[in-house]
Amino acid sequence: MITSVNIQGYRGFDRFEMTGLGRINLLVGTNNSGKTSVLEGIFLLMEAGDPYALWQLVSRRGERAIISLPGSDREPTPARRIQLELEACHLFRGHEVHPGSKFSISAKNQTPERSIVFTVMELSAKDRAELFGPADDGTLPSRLALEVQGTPPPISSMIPLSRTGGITPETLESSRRSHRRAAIGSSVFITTESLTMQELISHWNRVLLTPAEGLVLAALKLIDRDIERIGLQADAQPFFYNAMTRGGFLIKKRDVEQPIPIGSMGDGMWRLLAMAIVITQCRGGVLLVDEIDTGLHYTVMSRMWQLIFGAAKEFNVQVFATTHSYDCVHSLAQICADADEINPVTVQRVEPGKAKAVPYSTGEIKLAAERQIEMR
Amino acid sequence: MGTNKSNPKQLVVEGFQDLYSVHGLMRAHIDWPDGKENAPVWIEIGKSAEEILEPGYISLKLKEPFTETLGVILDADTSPRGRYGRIRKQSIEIFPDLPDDIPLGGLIVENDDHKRLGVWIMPDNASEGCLEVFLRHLVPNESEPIWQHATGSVVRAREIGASCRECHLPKAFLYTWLAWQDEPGQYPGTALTRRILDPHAVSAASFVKWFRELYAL
Repeated sequence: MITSVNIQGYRGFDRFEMTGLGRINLLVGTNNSGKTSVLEGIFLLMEAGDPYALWQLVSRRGERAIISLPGSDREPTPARRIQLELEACHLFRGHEVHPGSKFSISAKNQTPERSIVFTVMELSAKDRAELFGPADDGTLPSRLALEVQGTPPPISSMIPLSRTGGITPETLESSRRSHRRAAIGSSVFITTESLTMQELISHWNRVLLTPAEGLVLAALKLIDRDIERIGLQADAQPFFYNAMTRGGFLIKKRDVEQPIPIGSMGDGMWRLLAMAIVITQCRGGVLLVDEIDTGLHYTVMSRMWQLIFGAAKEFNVQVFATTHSYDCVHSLAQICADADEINPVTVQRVEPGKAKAVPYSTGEIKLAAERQIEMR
Repeated sequence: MGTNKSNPKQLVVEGFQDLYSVHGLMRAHIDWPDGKENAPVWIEIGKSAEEILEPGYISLKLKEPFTETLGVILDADTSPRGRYGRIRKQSIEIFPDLPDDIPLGGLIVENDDHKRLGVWIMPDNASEGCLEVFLRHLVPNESEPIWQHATGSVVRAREIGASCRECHLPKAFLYTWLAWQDEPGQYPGTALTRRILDPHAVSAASFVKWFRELYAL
């Protein structure tokens, strides 16, 4: 488990440190304090700088550009090509990409030590051709690339950047996520939009008919005790669905003959389903959930934490989440009595412009909840 | 939670009498508008000394996001040094430069993050006692004969079986004296507001100075 995290130069952070981490860590702080960026940093660290992870993070923030490039000379009527790129500049403090720009995330003084450093490099034409092959469209290739170094060694030590400082889909070819799954504990990042249907279905396919399926059902029963079963329609075709719809999962409720699509049951149910499915797939890794209270009534919170804590221990997952909700923070006290782990739960307040988070230990969380002292 | 609960200036006291006494005293010296929302300092009742001194409470109050200045007022009871020592233990991580003993004029410290802590141990940071010992010294000179009469009456009452304990004598004296004022039985806070107890008495000056300097008021 990570006990402390150090972030430098990533997004809005110059330097930032979080210490005294436990199995469940809830980040609080004002809007724009950087809580989501901290989660992203940990995700990149745990994914060893995988370009696919970078792609996911930047894509979710909508930092996309449609670039228009000159068509190839070889075509009879050279039309301009459209290419989707992700803007890498927003990853760097200052929002600019220059040779030498860099950011790093590390977890030191713990076993295993982990770190990742991204540095923008300017390559000579020769080096570029050696690393990435000749450009096939006759255009002048970009000299910029993102060097990735770290412990453990990253998947791709050099990610090419376009002339406009963007990451192109071709880059993803060099980083098939599934190759690495066995090597490092997987990590999953759930944001307010939750996962895409494709992602959730592929996770569900690994849960189906395993003991983990019981956990998923227990999660849904937190919201509605009448839920008896959950299933996925066998003919659910991901590519017919927009990434945001929830088609495919069906719930069977007691006394209701007709199965109900989960989309009819609201945001909270959907997010609980996603968390429950995913946590079973993060063995040895990290689950990151942005705004974990979304769609959940305060009465469900403490039971949600109990479910997550139990699953985190069972599957050896470390959890990082963010929230603005008073009930979400104070209901954490319910799981603070666990005797099995030292400091199982922490709250970390991220303050804009401050280089250190304000940590709250498990004991402090309990007392703050009892005495109604503000932590957020 | 009202807006004033997230006031950057916070004070923790043991009980209601402490709250109203501080209010009654300080409003004679600084601008203290009516209404909780406008109070220059938010006064929190810790319910008892033990609850205030519970390990973690003071450091949690110091860590509250909106708090810039935290004051703590406790009765010395039988050990002013012991009380201060327990507060010091709770706060030393956030204020590494805390002195071993509380200064006679009360403690005020600021750390590198510009967080401020103030401590006052009633009555005077050095003697045993409580709020009521402090308030005794605000009895106006003209009423001194009545005060002597009150203390004598309490002593005689105990001789014939009154159950109040020796450790509570300062309270018995004060409330007996208050029972004989116009109107009888006012709380110390009201008595201060109405100048039956004198907020400008010389004995109050050190506390007033500590309060104003701590909260920059």
